[in-house]
Amino acid sequence: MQLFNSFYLLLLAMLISLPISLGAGIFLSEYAGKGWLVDVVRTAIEILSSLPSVVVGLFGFLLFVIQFKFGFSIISGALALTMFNLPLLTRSIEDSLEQVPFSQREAGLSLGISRWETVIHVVIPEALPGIISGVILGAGRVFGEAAALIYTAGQSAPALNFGDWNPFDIQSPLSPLRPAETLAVHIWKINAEGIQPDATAVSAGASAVLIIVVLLFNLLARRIGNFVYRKMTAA
Amino acid sequence: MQEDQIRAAMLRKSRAAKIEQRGRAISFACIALIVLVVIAIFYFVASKGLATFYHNGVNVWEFLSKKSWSPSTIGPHGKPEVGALPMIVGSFSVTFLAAVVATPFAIGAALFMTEIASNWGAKILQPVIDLLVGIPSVVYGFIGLSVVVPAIRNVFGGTGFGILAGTFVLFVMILPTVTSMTVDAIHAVPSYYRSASAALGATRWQTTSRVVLRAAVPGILTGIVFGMARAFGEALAVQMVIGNAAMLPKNLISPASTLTSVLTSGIGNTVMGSLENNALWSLALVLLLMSLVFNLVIRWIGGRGALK
Repeated sequence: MQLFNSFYLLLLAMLISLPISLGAGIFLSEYAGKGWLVDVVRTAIEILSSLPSVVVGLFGFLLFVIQFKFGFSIISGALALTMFNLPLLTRSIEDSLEQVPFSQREAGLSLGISRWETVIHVVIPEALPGIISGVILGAGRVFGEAAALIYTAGQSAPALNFGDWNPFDIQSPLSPLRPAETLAVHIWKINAEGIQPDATAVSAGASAVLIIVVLLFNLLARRIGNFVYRKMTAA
Repeated sequence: MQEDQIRAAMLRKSRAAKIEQRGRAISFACIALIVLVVIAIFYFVASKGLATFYHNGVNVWEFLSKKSWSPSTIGPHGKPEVGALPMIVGSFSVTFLAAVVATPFAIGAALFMTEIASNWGAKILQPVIDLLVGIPSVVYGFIGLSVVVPAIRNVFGGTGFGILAGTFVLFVMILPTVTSMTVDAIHAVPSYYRSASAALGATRWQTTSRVVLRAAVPGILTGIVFGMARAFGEALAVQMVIGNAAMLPKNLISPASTLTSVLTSGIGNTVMGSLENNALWSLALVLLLMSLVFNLVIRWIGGRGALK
Protein backbone atom coordinates (compact mmCIF):
# COMPACT_ATOMS: atom_id res chain seq x y z
CA MET A 1 0.00 0.00 0.00
CA GLN A 2 2.84 2.37 0.81
CA LEU A 3 4.37 1.37 -2.50
CA PHE A 4 1.17 2.21 -4.32
CA ASN A 5 1.01 5.55 -2.50
CA SER A 6 4.57 6.30 -3.55
CA PHE A 7 3.84 5.62 -7.19
CA TYR A 8 0.56 7.47 -7.19
CA LEU A 9 2.14 10.55 -5.61
CA LEU A 10 4.99 10.36 -8.07
CA LEU A 11 2.56 10.17 -10.99
CA LEU A 12 0.53 13.15 -9.79
CA ALA A 13 3.60 15.25 -9.03
CA MET A 14 5.00 14.49 -12.47
CA LEU A 15 1.70 15.31 -14.15
CA ILE A 16 1.68 18.72 -12.50
CA SER A 17 5.33 19.58 -12.80
CA LEU A 18 6.17 18.31 -16.28
CA PRO A 19 4.11 20.82 -18.32
CA ILE A 20 5.20 23.71 -16.14
CA SER A 21 8.87 22.89 -16.27
CA LEU A 22 8.65 22.14 -20.00
CA GLY A 23 7.27 25.62 -20.59
CA ALA A 24 9.84 27.16 -18.28
CA GLY A 25 12.68 25.26 -19.91
CA ILE A 26 11.51 26.36 -23.37
CA PHE A 27 11.33 29.96 -22.25
CA LEU A 28 14.81 29.89 -20.72
CA SER A 29 16.49 28.22 -23.67
CA GLU A 30 14.57 29.76 -26.59
CA TYR A 31 13.11 33.11 -25.66
CA ALA A 32 15.15 34.45 -22.79
CA GLY A 33 17.96 36.67 -23.89
CA LYS A 34 20.47 38.17 -21.54
CA GLY A 35 19.39 40.73 -19.02
CA TRP A 36 19.01 41.30 -15.34
CA LEU A 37 15.47 39.92 -15.30
CA VAL A 38 16.53 36.60 -16.78
CA ASP A 39 19.40 36.58 -14.33
CA VAL A 40 16.97 37.02 -11.45
CA VAL A 41 14.82 34.18 -12.78
CA ARG A 42 17.79 31.85 -13.06
CA THR A 43 18.88 32.74 -9.54
CA ALA A 44 15.37 32.05 -8.28
CA ILE A 45 15.41 28.60 -9.84
CA GLU A 46 18.81 27.87 -8.35
CA ILE A 47 17.61 28.96 -4.91
CA LEU A 48 14.51 26.82 -5.25
CA SER A 49 16.60 23.79 -6.16
CA SER A 50 18.90 24.21 -3.18
CA LEU A 51 16.19 24.84 -0.60
CA PRO A 52 16.16 22.25 2.17
CA SER A 53 13.32 19.86 1.53
CA VAL A 54 12.01 20.38 5.07
CA VAL A 55 11.40 24.02 4.29
CA VAL A 56 9.56 23.09 1.12
CA GLY A 57 7.51 20.61 3.11
CA LEU A 58 6.68 23.19 5.77
CA PHE A 59 5.68 25.67 3.11
CA GLY A 60 3.41 23.05 1.58
CA PHE A 61 1.98 22.37 5.04
CA LEU A 62 1.25 26.05 5.57
CA LEU A 63 -0.16 26.80 2.14
CA PHE A 64 -1.92 23.65 0.98
CA VAL A 65 -2.81 21.84 4.17
CA ILE A 66 -3.90 24.84 6.23
CA GLN A 67 -4.56 27.76 3.90
CA PHE A 68 -6.27 25.82 1.11
CA LYS A 69 -7.74 23.31 3.58
CA PHE A 70 -6.69 20.25 1.61
CA GLY A 71 -5.68 18.59 4.87
CA PHE A 72 -3.03 15.90 4.93
CA SER A 73 -3.71 14.53 1.51
CA ILE A 74 -2.20 13.19 -1.64
CA ILE A 75 -2.88 16.41 -3.48
CA SER A 76 -0.94 18.47 -0.90
CA GLY A 77 1.91 16.00 -1.09
CA ALA A 78 1.95 16.07 -4.86
CA LEU A 79 2.01 19.87 -4.89
CA ALA A 80 4.88 19.95 -2.39
CA LEU A 81 6.77 17.43 -4.48
CA THR A 82 6.09 19.63 -7.49
CA MET A 83 7.88 22.55 -5.85
CA PHE A 84 10.75 20.25 -5.14
CA ASN A 85 10.76 18.82 -8.64
CA LEU A 86 10.25 21.95 -10.73
CA PRO A 87 13.76 23.42 -10.59
CA LEU A 88 15.43 20.05 -11.23
CA LEU A 89 13.25 19.32 -14.24
CA THR A 90 13.51 22.84 -15.60
CA ARG A 91 17.27 22.69 -15.45
CA SER A 92 17.52 19.34 -17.18
CA ILE A 93 15.00 20.31 -19.87
CA GLU A 94 16.78 23.59 -20.52
CA ASP A 95 20.11 21.78 -20.78
CA SER A 96 18.84 19.20 -23.21
CA LEU A 97 17.13 21.86 -25.33
CA GLU A 98 20.34 23.83 -25.49
CA GLN A 99 22.25 20.79 -26.70
CA VAL A 100 20.21 20.83 -29.91
CA PRO A 101 22.36 22.43 -32.62
CA PHE A 102 21.26 25.83 -33.84
CA SER A 103 21.11 24.64 -37.45
CA GLN A 104 18.02 22.62 -36.55
CA ARG A 105 16.23 25.78 -35.51
CA GLU A 106 17.38 27.65 -38.59
CA ALA A 107 16.07 24.82 -40.74
CA GLY A 108 12.70 25.10 -39.04
CA LEU A 109 12.56 28.86 -39.36
CA SER A 110 13.53 28.75 -43.02
CA LEU A 111 10.45 26.63 -43.69
CA GLY A 112 8.42 29.65 -42.65
CA ILE A 113 6.97 28.20 -39.45
CA SER A 114 6.98 30.17 -36.24
CA ARG A 115 9.54 29.87 -33.52
CA TRP A 116 7.08 28.12 -31.22
CA GLU A 117 6.25 25.53 -33.87
CA THR A 118 9.94 25.01 -34.50
CA VAL A 119 10.43 24.33 -30.82
CA ILE A 120 7.48 21.96 -30.57
CA HIS A 121 8.03 20.01 -33.76
CA VAL A 122 11.75 20.16 -34.33
CA VAL A 123 13.71 20.96 -31.20
CA ILE A 124 11.77 18.97 -28.61
CA PRO A 125 11.82 15.65 -30.51
CA GLU A 126 15.53 16.13 -30.96
CA ALA A 127 15.99 16.84 -27.25
CA LEU A 128 13.58 14.14 -26.10
CA PRO A 129 16.12 11.55 -24.92
CA GLY A 130 17.71 14.13 -22.63
CA ILE A 131 14.34 15.29 -21.38
CA ILE A 132 13.16 11.75 -20.67
CA SER A 133 16.26 10.75 -18.79
CA GLY A 134 15.99 13.98 -16.82
CA VAL A 135 12.39 13.15 -15.96
CA ILE A 136 13.22 9.62 -14.87
CA LEU A 137 16.15 10.73 -12.74
CA GLY A 138 13.92 13.39 -11.20
CA ALA A 139 11.37 10.67 -10.55
CA GLY A 140 14.02 8.75 -8.65
CA ARG A 141 14.70 11.74 -6.42
CA VAL A 142 11.01 12.34 -5.81
CA PHE A 143 10.37 8.69 -5.10
CA GLY A 144 12.73 8.65 -2.15
CA GLU A 145 11.76 12.07 -0.84
CA ALA A 146 10.29 11.96 2.61
CA ALA A 147 10.98 15.21 4.45
CA ALA A 148 8.73 17.23 2.18
CA LEU A 149 5.93 14.74 2.62
CA ILE A 150 5.72 14.23 6.38
CA TYR A 151 3.64 17.34 6.89
CA THR A 152 1.83 17.37 3.55
CA ALA A 153 0.82 13.85 2.58
CA GLY A 154 0.64 12.76 6.20
CA GLN A 155 1.96 9.79 8.09
CA SER A 156 -1.02 7.51 8.08
CA ALA A 157 -2.34 5.09 5.53
CA PRO A 158 -6.05 4.44 6.06
CA ALA A 159 -7.57 1.24 4.79
CA LEU A 160 -8.21 1.36 1.10
CA ASN A 161 -10.75 -0.45 -0.97
CA PHE A 162 -8.98 -1.50 -4.12
CA GLY A 163 -12.23 -2.49 -5.80
CA ASP A 164 -13.40 1.10 -5.69
CA TRP A 165 -11.95 3.17 -8.49
CA ASN A 166 -14.11 6.26 -8.08
CA PRO A 167 -11.63 9.06 -7.42
CA PHE A 168 -14.15 11.06 -5.36
CA ASP A 169 -14.65 8.33 -2.79
CA ILE A 170 -12.46 8.68 0.30
CA GLN A 171 -11.75 4.95 0.43
CA SER A 172 -10.75 4.68 -3.19
CA PRO A 173 -7.01 4.39 -3.88
CA LEU A 174 -7.35 7.15 -6.49
CA SER A 175 -8.89 9.73 -4.19
CA PRO A 176 -6.53 12.71 -4.15
CA LEU A 177 -7.86 13.98 -0.83
CA ARG A 178 -6.97 11.00 1.33
CA PRO A 179 -3.82 11.00 3.49
CA ALA A 180 -1.12 8.75 2.16
CA GLU A 181 2.08 7.53 3.69
CA THR A 182 4.80 6.70 1.20
CA LEU A 183 7.49 4.10 1.52
CA ALA A 184 10.19 6.59 2.49
CA VAL A 185 8.00 8.25 5.12
CA HIS A 186 7.12 4.83 6.48
CA ILE A 187 10.78 3.95 6.99
CA TRP A 188 11.35 7.19 8.82
CA LYS A 189 8.26 6.86 10.97
CA ILE A 190 8.79 3.37 12.26
CA ASN A 191 12.40 4.14 13.08
CA ALA A 192 11.65 7.44 14.77
CA GLU A 193 8.79 6.11 16.86
CA GLY A 194 10.12 2.68 17.59
CA ILE A 195 6.87 1.15 18.76
CA GLN A 196 6.76 -1.60 16.18
CA PRO A 197 8.68 -4.68 17.34
CA ASP A 198 9.80 -5.68 13.85
CA ALA A 199 10.83 -2.14 12.86
CA THR A 200 14.28 -3.17 11.71
CA ALA A 201 13.05 -5.96 9.48
CA VAL A 202 10.31 -3.82 7.99
CA SER A 203 12.57 -0.89 7.30
CA ALA A 204 15.29 -3.12 5.85
CA GLY A 205 12.76 -4.55 3.44
CA ALA A 206 11.33 -1.16 2.59
CA SER A 207 14.82 0.27 2.08
CA ALA A 208 15.63 -2.59 -0.28
CA VAL A 209 12.51 -1.87 -2.30
CA LEU A 210 13.39 1.82 -2.48
CA ILE A 211 16.93 1.16 -3.62
CA ILE A 212 15.82 -1.36 -6.24
CA VAL A 213 13.25 1.06 -7.61
CA VAL A 214 15.83 3.85 -7.78
CA LEU A 215 18.23 1.47 -9.52
CA LEU A 216 15.53 0.58 -12.03
CA PHE A 217 14.86 4.27 -12.66
CA ASN A 218 18.54 4.82 -13.35
CA LEU A 219 18.76 1.95 -15.81
CA LEU A 220 15.48 2.94 -17.44
CA ALA A 221 16.74 6.48 -17.90
CA ARG A 222 19.58 5.23 -20.07
CA ARG A 223 17.61 2.61 -21.99
CA ILE A 224 14.53 4.66 -22.78
CA GLY A 225 16.60 7.68 -23.69
CA ASN A 226 18.49 5.73 -26.35
CA PHE A 227 15.40 3.92 -27.55
CA VAL A 228 13.30 7.04 -28.01
CA TYR A 229 16.15 8.80 -29.72
CA ARG A 230 16.37 6.06 -32.33
CA LYS A 231 12.59 6.10 -32.82
CA MET A 232 12.08 9.82 -33.09
CA THR A 233 15.01 10.84 -35.24
CA ALA A 234 16.48 9.51 -38.41
CA ALA A 235 19.74 8.75 -36.69
CA MET B 1 -12.25 48.70 -52.05
CA GLN B 2 -10.02 45.96 -53.27
CA GLU B 3 -6.95 47.83 -52.05
CA ASP B 4 -8.46 48.00 -48.59
CA GLN B 5 -8.92 44.26 -48.55
CA ILE B 6 -5.33 43.67 -49.60
CA ARG B 7 -4.19 46.19 -47.05
CA ALA B 8 -6.18 44.45 -44.34
CA ALA B 9 -4.80 41.07 -45.36
CA MET B 10 -1.26 42.36 -45.27
CA LEU B 11 -1.66 43.94 -41.87
CA ARG B 12 -3.41 41.01 -40.26
CA LYS B 13 -1.21 38.80 -38.20
CA SER B 14 -0.37 35.51 -39.83
CA ARG B 15 -1.35 32.24 -38.23
CA ALA B 16 2.26 31.55 -37.42
CA ALA B 17 2.63 34.86 -35.62
CA LYS B 18 -0.43 34.13 -33.51
CA ILE B 19 0.83 30.69 -32.58
CA GLU B 20 4.17 32.22 -31.76
CA GLN B 21 2.57 34.78 -29.49
CA ARG B 22 0.49 32.19 -27.70
CA GLY B 23 3.47 29.88 -27.23
CA ARG B 24 5.56 32.69 -25.87
CA ALA B 25 2.81 33.60 -23.42
CA ILE B 26 2.48 29.99 -22.24
CA SER B 27 6.15 29.52 -21.62
CA PHE B 28 6.39 32.91 -19.92
CA ALA B 29 3.50 31.98 -17.65
CA CYS B 30 5.38 28.83 -16.60
CA ILE B 31 8.50 30.72 -15.67
CA ALA B 32 6.48 33.36 -13.86
CA LEU B 33 4.82 30.62 -11.83
CA ILE B 34 8.18 29.28 -10.66
CA VAL B 35 9.36 32.74 -9.62
CA LEU B 36 6.06 33.26 -7.85
CA VAL B 37 6.56 30.01 -5.93
CA VAL B 38 9.99 31.13 -4.75
CA ILE B 39 8.63 34.50 -3.63
CA ALA B 40 5.71 32.79 -1.90
CA ILE B 41 8.00 30.42 0.00
CA PHE B 42 10.10 33.31 1.23
CA TYR B 43 7.07 35.39 2.13
CA PHE B 44 5.29 32.66 4.07
CA VAL B 45 8.29 31.36 5.96
CA ALA B 46 9.51 34.88 6.74
CA SER B 47 6.13 36.08 7.94
CA LYS B 48 5.81 33.04 10.20
CA GLY B 49 9.40 33.10 11.37
CA LEU B 50 9.47 36.80 12.19
CA ALA B 51 6.35 36.48 14.31
CA THR B 52 8.52 35.19 17.15
CA PHE B 53 10.35 38.48 17.22
CA TYR B 54 7.49 40.89 16.54
CA HIS B 55 4.54 39.15 18.05
CA ASN B 56 6.13 37.30 20.96
CA GLY B 57 8.76 39.95 21.59
CA VAL B 58 11.79 37.71 21.57
CA ASN B 59 15.11 39.43 21.08
CA VAL B 60 16.77 38.36 17.81
CA TRP B 61 20.19 38.27 19.37
CA GLU B 62 19.00 36.23 22.34
CA PHE B 63 17.33 33.84 19.95
CA LEU B 64 20.58 33.24 18.15
CA SER B 65 22.90 33.12 21.15
CA LYS B 66 21.02 31.67 24.15
CA LYS B 67 21.73 28.10 25.00
CA SER B 68 18.52 26.75 26.48
CA TRP B 69 15.67 25.67 24.28
CA SER B 70 12.40 25.04 26.08
CA PRO B 71 9.74 27.13 24.37
CA SER B 72 6.86 25.30 26.01
CA THR B 73 7.71 26.15 29.63
CA ILE B 74 8.25 29.44 31.41
CA GLY B 75 11.90 30.03 32.21
CA PRO B 76 13.44 31.81 35.21
CA HIS B 77 13.01 35.22 33.55
CA GLY B 78 9.25 34.73 33.34
CA LYS B 79 9.51 34.13 29.64
CA PRO B 80 9.82 30.92 27.66
CA GLU B 81 13.38 30.24 26.64
CA VAL B 82 14.04 30.07 22.95
CA GLY B 83 17.77 29.91 22.51
CA ALA B 84 18.51 28.31 19.16
CA LEU B 85 22.26 28.12 19.63
CA PRO B 86 22.41 24.34 20.26
CA MET B 87 20.60 23.62 17.01
CA ILE B 88 22.67 26.11 15.05
CA VAL B 89 25.89 24.69 16.47
CA GLY B 90 24.69 21.15 15.77
CA SER B 91 23.79 21.94 12.19
CA PHE B 92 27.05 23.71 11.47
CA SER B 93 29.25 21.13 13.13
CA VAL B 94 27.79 18.12 11.32
CA THR B 95 27.88 20.04 8.05
CA PHE B 96 31.47 21.20 8.35
CA LEU B 97 32.77 17.90 9.72
CA ALA B 98 31.07 15.98 6.92
CA ALA B 99 32.52 18.34 4.33
CA VAL B 100 35.99 18.13 5.86
CA VAL B 101 35.91 14.33 5.87
CA ALA B 102 34.36 14.04 2.42
CA THR B 103 36.67 16.43 0.56
CA PRO B 104 39.86 14.33 0.44
CA PHE B 105 37.93 11.22 -0.54
CA ALA B 106 36.05 13.10 -3.24
CA ILE B 107 39.20 14.62 -4.70
CA GLY B 108 41.00 11.28 -4.62
CA ALA B 109 38.14 9.44 -6.29
CA ALA B 110 37.74 12.16 -8.89
CA LEU B 111 41.43 12.15 -9.72
CA PHE B 112 41.35 8.40 -10.08
CA MET B 113 38.40 8.62 -12.44
CA THR B 114 39.81 11.37 -14.61
CA GLU B 115 43.61 11.27 -14.56
CA ILE B 116 44.69 7.80 -13.53
CA ALA B 117 42.20 5.26 -14.80
CA SER B 118 40.03 7.38 -17.03
CA ASN B 119 38.75 4.45 -19.09
CA TRP B 120 37.43 1.80 -16.79
CA GLY B 121 37.36 4.09 -13.76
CA ALA B 122 34.83 6.34 -15.39
CA LYS B 123 32.90 3.45 -16.88
CA ILE B 124 32.42 1.69 -13.56
CA LEU B 125 32.47 4.48 -11.03
CA GLN B 126 30.24 6.96 -12.85
CA PRO B 127 27.09 4.78 -12.77
CA VAL B 128 27.84 3.85 -9.16
CA ILE B 129 28.08 7.50 -8.19
CA ASP B 130 24.89 8.33 -10.12
CA LEU B 131 23.16 5.61 -8.18
CA LEU B 132 24.52 6.79 -4.84
CA VAL B 133 23.23 10.30 -5.54
CA GLY B 134 19.80 8.84 -6.15
CA ILE B 135 19.53 6.74 -3.00
CA PRO B 136 16.83 8.22 -0.76
CA SER B 137 18.05 9.92 2.38
CA VAL B 138 15.87 7.83 4.69
CA VAL B 139 17.75 4.78 3.50
CA TYR B 140 21.01 6.44 4.52
CA GLY B 141 19.40 7.28 7.83
CA PHE B 142 18.28 3.71 8.33
CA ILE B 143 21.74 2.37 7.56
CA GLY B 144 23.19 4.92 9.95
CA LEU B 145 20.76 3.80 12.61
CA SER B 146 21.41 0.10 12.20
CA VAL B 147 25.15 0.13 11.40
CA VAL B 148 26.87 3.36 12.38
CA VAL B 149 25.16 4.00 15.72
CA PRO B 150 25.85 0.52 17.19
CA ALA B 151 29.43 0.69 15.91
CA ILE B 152 30.02 4.01 17.66
CA ARG B 153 28.34 2.67 20.78
CA ASN B 154 30.75 -0.27 20.82
CA VAL B 155 33.86 1.75 20.13
CA PHE B 156 33.34 4.95 22.12
CA GLY B 157 30.61 3.97 24.56
CA GLY B 158 27.64 6.20 25.26
CA THR B 159 24.45 5.85 23.29
CA GLY B 160 26.03 6.09 19.89
CA PHE B 161 23.67 8.84 18.88
CA GLY B 162 25.38 12.14 18.30
CA ILE B 163 27.28 14.43 16.04
CA LEU B 164 29.76 11.73 15.05
CA ALA B 165 27.01 9.46 13.74
CA GLY B 166 25.41 12.39 11.93
CA THR B 167 28.74 13.27 10.38
CA PHE B 168 29.22 9.72 9.12
CA VAL B 169 25.81 9.56 7.52
CA LEU B 170 26.16 12.97 5.92
CA PHE B 171 29.65 12.14 4.72
CA VAL B 172 28.36 9.13 2.82
CA MET B 173 25.48 11.19 1.54
CA ILE B 174 27.41 14.13 0.16
CA LEU B 175 30.42 12.14 -1.07
CA PRO B 176 28.88 11.23 -4.46
CA THR B 177 27.64 14.79 -5.01
CA VAL B 178 31.02 16.33 -4.26
CA THR B 179 32.84 13.66 -6.27
CA SER B 180 30.82 14.10 -9.43
CA MET B 181 31.16 17.89 -9.27
CA THR B 182 34.91 17.54 -8.74
CA VAL B 183 35.08 15.24 -11.75
CA ASP B 184 33.31 17.87 -13.83
CA ALA B 185 35.71 20.54 -12.58
CA ILE B 186 38.76 18.45 -13.48
CA HIS B 187 37.31 17.62 -16.88
CA ALA B 188 36.89 21.32 -17.52
CA VAL B 189 40.66 21.95 -17.18
CA PRO B 190 41.88 22.34 -20.76
CA SER B 191 44.16 19.52 -21.93
CA TYR B 192 46.86 21.92 -23.11
CA TYR B 193 47.56 22.73 -19.46
CA ARG B 194 48.54 19.11 -19.02
CA SER B 195 50.55 19.10 -22.23
CA ALA B 196 52.39 22.28 -21.24
CA SER B 197 53.24 20.86 -17.84
CA ALA B 198 54.43 17.60 -19.35
CA ALA B 199 56.55 19.55 -21.86
CA LEU B 200 58.28 21.21 -18.92
CA GLY B 201 59.37 17.79 -17.76
CA ALA B 202 56.90 17.37 -14.91
CA THR B 203 55.83 13.89 -13.96
CA ARG B 204 52.20 12.96 -14.14
CA TRP B 205 51.71 13.33 -10.40
CA GLN B 206 53.39 16.74 -10.43
CA THR B 207 51.12 17.78 -13.29
CA THR B 208 48.07 16.49 -11.49
CA SER B 209 48.79 17.96 -8.10
CA ARG B 210 50.26 21.33 -9.11
CA VAL B 211 48.55 22.20 -12.39
CA VAL B 212 45.29 20.32 -12.80
CA LEU B 213 44.12 20.55 -9.21
CA ARG B 214 45.17 24.19 -8.96
CA ALA B 215 43.22 25.07 -12.08
CA ALA B 216 40.18 23.14 -10.87
CA VAL B 217 40.02 24.80 -7.43
CA PRO B 218 36.96 27.03 -8.11
CA GLY B 219 35.00 24.08 -9.46
CA ILE B 220 36.00 21.85 -6.56
CA LEU B 221 35.07 24.53 -4.03
CA THR B 222 31.69 24.90 -5.70
CA GLY B 223 31.21 21.17 -5.34
CA ILE B 224 32.11 21.26 -1.66
CA VAL B 225 29.80 24.16 -0.89
CA PHE B 226 27.07 22.42 -2.85
CA GLY B 227 27.56 19.32 -0.76
CA MET B 228 27.48 21.42 2.41
CA ALA B 229 24.23 23.02 1.33
CA ARG B 230 22.78 19.58 0.85
CA ALA B 231 24.08 18.40 4.23
CA PHE B 232 22.77 21.49 5.98
CA GLY B 233 19.27 21.00 4.68
CA GLU B 234 19.19 17.26 5.14
CA ALA B 235 16.56 16.39 7.69
CA LEU B 236 15.47 12.83 8.14
CA ALA B 237 18.76 10.98 7.87
CA VAL B 238 20.32 13.24 10.47
CA GLN B 239 17.26 13.28 12.66
CA MET B 240 17.35 9.49 12.87
CA VAL B 241 20.91 9.28 14.18
CA ILE B 242 21.69 12.47 16.06
CA GLY B 243 19.74 11.78 19.23
CA ASN B 244 17.53 14.88 19.28
CA ALA B 245 18.51 16.53 22.51
CA ALA B 246 18.22 20.28 22.30
CA MET B 247 21.32 21.09 24.31
CA LEU B 248 24.79 22.25 23.46
CA PRO B 249 26.79 19.14 22.54
CA LYS B 250 29.66 18.51 24.96
CA ASN B 251 31.53 16.16 22.68
CA LEU B 252 31.12 14.36 19.40
CA ILE B 253 29.25 11.37 20.78
CA SER B 254 26.74 13.08 23.05
CA PRO B 255 23.24 13.50 21.67
CA ALA B 256 22.63 16.79 19.93
CA SER B 257 20.17 18.23 17.47
CA THR B 258 20.15 20.22 14.27
CA LEU B 259 17.79 22.83 12.93
CA THR B 260 16.18 20.32 10.62
CA SER B 261 15.84 17.57 13.21
CA VAL B 262 14.03 19.83 15.66
CA LEU B 263 11.77 21.01 12.86
CA THR B 264 10.75 17.56 11.68
CA SER B 265 10.12 16.18 15.12
CA GLY B 266 8.57 19.28 16.64
CA ILE B 267 6.26 21.00 14.25
CA GLY B 268 3.60 18.33 14.31
CA ASN B 269 3.29 18.52 18.09
CA THR B 270 2.80 22.25 18.48
CA VAL B 271 -0.27 24.41 18.06
CA MET B 272 -0.39 26.80 15.15
CA GLY B 273 0.26 30.39 16.24
CA SER B 274 1.68 29.56 19.66
CA LEU B 275 5.18 30.60 20.68
CA GLU B 276 6.59 27.08 20.35
CA ASN B 277 5.29 26.91 16.83
CA ASN B 278 6.52 30.37 15.91
CA ALA B 279 9.95 29.59 17.30
CA LEU B 280 10.11 26.52 15.09
CA TRP B 281 9.20 28.66 12.10
CA SER B 282 12.03 30.98 13.05
CA LEU B 283 14.33 27.97 12.84
CA ALA B 284 12.95 27.30 9.38
CA LEU B 285 13.71 30.91 8.50
CA VAL B 286 17.30 30.48 9.70
CA LEU B 287 17.52 27.38 7.51
CA LEU B 288 16.16 29.27 4.54
CA LEU B 289 18.59 32.14 5.00
CA MET B 290 21.51 29.73 5.34
CA SER B 291 20.65 28.01 2.07
CA LEU B 292 20.53 31.49 0.53
CA VAL B 293 24.00 32.17 1.91
CA PHE B 294 25.31 28.90 0.46
CA ASN B 295 23.86 29.93 -2.87
CA LEU B 296 25.58 33.29 -2.76
CA VAL B 297 28.89 31.63 -1.86
CA ILE B 298 28.57 29.30 -4.84
CA ARG B 299 27.85 32.23 -7.15
CA TRP B 300 30.75 34.19 -5.70
CA ILE B 301 33.18 31.31 -6.20
CA GLY B 302 31.84 30.72 -9.68
CA GLY B 303 32.26 34.38 -10.56
CA ARG B 304 35.83 34.43 -9.28
CA GLY B 305 36.66 31.27 -11.19
CA ALA B 306 35.23 32.71 -14.40
CA LEU B 307 37.48 35.77 -14.23
CA LYS B 308 40.67 33.78 -14.63
